Amino acid sequence: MANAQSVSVQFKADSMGGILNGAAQKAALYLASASKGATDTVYNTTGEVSGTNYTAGGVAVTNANSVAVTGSTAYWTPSANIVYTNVTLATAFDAVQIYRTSDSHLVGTWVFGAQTITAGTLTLTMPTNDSSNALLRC
Amino acid sequence: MALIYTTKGDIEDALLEKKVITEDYPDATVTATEYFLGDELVKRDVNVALKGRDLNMAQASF
Repeated sequence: MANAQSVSVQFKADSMGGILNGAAQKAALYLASASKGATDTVYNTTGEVSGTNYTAGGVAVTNANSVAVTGSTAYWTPSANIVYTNVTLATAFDAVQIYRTSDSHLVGTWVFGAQTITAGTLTLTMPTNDSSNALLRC
Repeated sequence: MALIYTTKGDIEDALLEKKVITEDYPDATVTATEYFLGDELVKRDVNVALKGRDLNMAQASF
């Protein structure tokens, strides 16, 4: 078997784990008219949704999973779905940002097509936490 | 008979028309469930099944 140039999976796990493992996190929603993306570094209220029973900053993310390793892939997923209960968000929104509450540093932005909620529930269902499907994989 | 919470309070589900809309996006599959009382939308729930993301770490050569 030949040698292979590569980034060690341990480096990937340590990098991701240092940020994600055990960190208190929240998930905030953003309007379809906002401009959120990869250059964002911290949570802010610019473009955030507002409406009945939605509190600025979003909702807590259940984070009981530590970064795991399978083969050469390090991966992580929140350990429960993210739910916004009994909200009315009448202005179209299409993005969620997950961030660490200790310093507001962002984890990532996910975009899902413009939606509204009327006297209802928004559920962000997490994928299976494995090396093929996890929310973040490296 | 089940009660559904709506913009008009609790309404029996038999009085509501229910529509389910499913859409697929690169980052998620979205299922929206809408409830109408006549022509009026009185409730809209959304389930967003997020898809994972590969971070694709790059490594240059010497």
